[in-house]
Amino acid sequence: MKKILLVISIIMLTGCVSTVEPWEKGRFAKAEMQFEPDTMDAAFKRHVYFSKEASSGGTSTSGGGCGCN
Amino acid sequence: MINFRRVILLVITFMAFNAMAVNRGEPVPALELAAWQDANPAINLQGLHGKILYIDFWASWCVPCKKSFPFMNTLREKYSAEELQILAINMDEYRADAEKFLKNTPALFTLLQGNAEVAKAFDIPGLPTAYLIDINGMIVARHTGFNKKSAKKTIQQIEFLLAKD
Amino acid sequence: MNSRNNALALLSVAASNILATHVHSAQVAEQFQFGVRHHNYQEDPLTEPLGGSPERYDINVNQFSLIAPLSDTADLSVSYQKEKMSGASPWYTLKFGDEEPLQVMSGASIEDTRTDVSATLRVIDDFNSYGITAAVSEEDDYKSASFGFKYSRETEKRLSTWSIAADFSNDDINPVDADIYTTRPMDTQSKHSASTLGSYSRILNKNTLLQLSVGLSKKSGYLSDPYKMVITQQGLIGDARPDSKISKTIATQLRYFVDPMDAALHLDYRFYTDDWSIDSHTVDIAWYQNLLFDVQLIPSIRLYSQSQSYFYDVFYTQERADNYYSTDYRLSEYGAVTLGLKLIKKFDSWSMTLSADKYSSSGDTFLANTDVENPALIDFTLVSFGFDLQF
Repeated sequence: MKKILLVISIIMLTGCVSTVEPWEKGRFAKAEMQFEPDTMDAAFKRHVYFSKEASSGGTSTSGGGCGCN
Repeated sequence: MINFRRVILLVITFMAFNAMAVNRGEPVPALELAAWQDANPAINLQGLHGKILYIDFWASWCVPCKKSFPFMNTLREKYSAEELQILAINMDEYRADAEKFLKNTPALFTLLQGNAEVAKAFDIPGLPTAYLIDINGMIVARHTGFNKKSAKKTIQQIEFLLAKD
Repeated sequence: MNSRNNALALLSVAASNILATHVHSAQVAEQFQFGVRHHNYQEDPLTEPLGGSPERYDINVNQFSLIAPLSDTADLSVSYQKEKMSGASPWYTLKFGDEEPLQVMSGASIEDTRTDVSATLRVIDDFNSYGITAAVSEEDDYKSASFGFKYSRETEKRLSTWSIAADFSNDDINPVDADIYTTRPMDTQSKHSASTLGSYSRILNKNTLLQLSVGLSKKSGYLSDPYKMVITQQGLIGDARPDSKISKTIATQLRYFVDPMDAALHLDYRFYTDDWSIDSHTVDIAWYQNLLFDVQLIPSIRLYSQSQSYFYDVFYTQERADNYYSTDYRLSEYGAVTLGLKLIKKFDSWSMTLSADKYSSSGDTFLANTDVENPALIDFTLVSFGFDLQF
């Protein structure tokens, strides 16, 4: 699984890299193109999954914990 | 792996454009740009000698442009057409996006349709980027981004250029 | 490892940081941004508990956030969250012969309130961005304080960003009713955590943005669950886990804009591994579809699976030499799928958001494939509603 995703990422990197001029960056200003379009929602979901699963982290540092069971 | 030949070609092309890009103290490039309304005549950037020229590159998605437009409206009202010519060059990929922006943020100044050629000639680092050009067609200042400080500085620079005459 | 994998690995390892990520090109807030959310989280009741209440957690949360511009180069963001939770929680498991293991739940419903406050100060100076964060949280039996900092730097053409973040926290737990339930520690227990995250994000072309992140975290101190128990040969003892856990993550996030559809595709993957021998895979896929009347519809799916920790068992029939015991479902092998749907309606200076997520887990979902799943695996429904204002 990990290998497949790694290969896909590499393929995308090699096939699709091209120079982007500063005036061509319009799409990246859109809310839907942000890494976290809704930071409140993302923070809350991180909290839920941190409490209910063994894994945590990945795209942000851990912050404080909770006594959530 | 990445096609190195293509990368090198891109780099050389980019460097070539860089060599052509204008800096302060250099004349404004001799480029003609279509007016916002196609019916209106095109404007040649070098043909505007005799007045101070303020060129602003903008796009609908540029957040500080929402503030730079009211500022340019203020400039338009403050200085006469003989003293200051304002040209706002649009860099939107889709005109519809620019039209939507203009509905919410109207412009009292001249709008032009931009293209990759003019943006590369000026080598703009981002949007908005504004250039102040004196009556002899020489670029005297460049402002990237927009805030109160750059607005104040722009007015100071325009006053200085007007006083020089 | 072939040379391509090596290159990618080197990239990831060398990468600096990016924090919890906002706009690709870091920009100071130009307006005040206020957000409020109400979340309702409900776990499905346990189907066959043995004793105790089958009702699991029901949590209501109110979340507030304010981002204030301080100057042309700095902004401050403050968040406040208040949770009210009630419900029973799993206590210990029982297994009779070859039958399926059964979960014994706590009796009366627990009621608890948790308050969480955090603040982040950000300074952006041309290509550099600096941030510091402080957070505290408190509930009846648990206090947490954390501090973090982040630095990120854009490359000259602003096509890439490197960033690094670090976080340190200290939690104190003072279990309630420790005098009644003797498996719970009488004194306050502490847990310390330190973590770091390095990221590299890059604009690949006009439509594509990719981020790679690598994280390392160490937790030490009291890492067991004081409210859980285990039946062993010695009788009923408290949940007992190692006092140290080191974990690593590798994550990648893709953002791709589909021009003809006026929509954006989000594709995220995270691999997690720790020295309790838990490995997990998380895949998040979301489709942000722009519709008429400034409405955005976002269906999403999250796939998760984890392996079990080396000291976990659903029911212990033998002693362990290391004396670690836990039947917590969160340390078992299982997989989960979350189906989500979100709706955003934008107005001039404000927007409204409504979303629902349904989470279901089992021993053989996604990559998990276990013969005996933990009887306390959860399914939950989360409904959220909120507003965002700019002024």
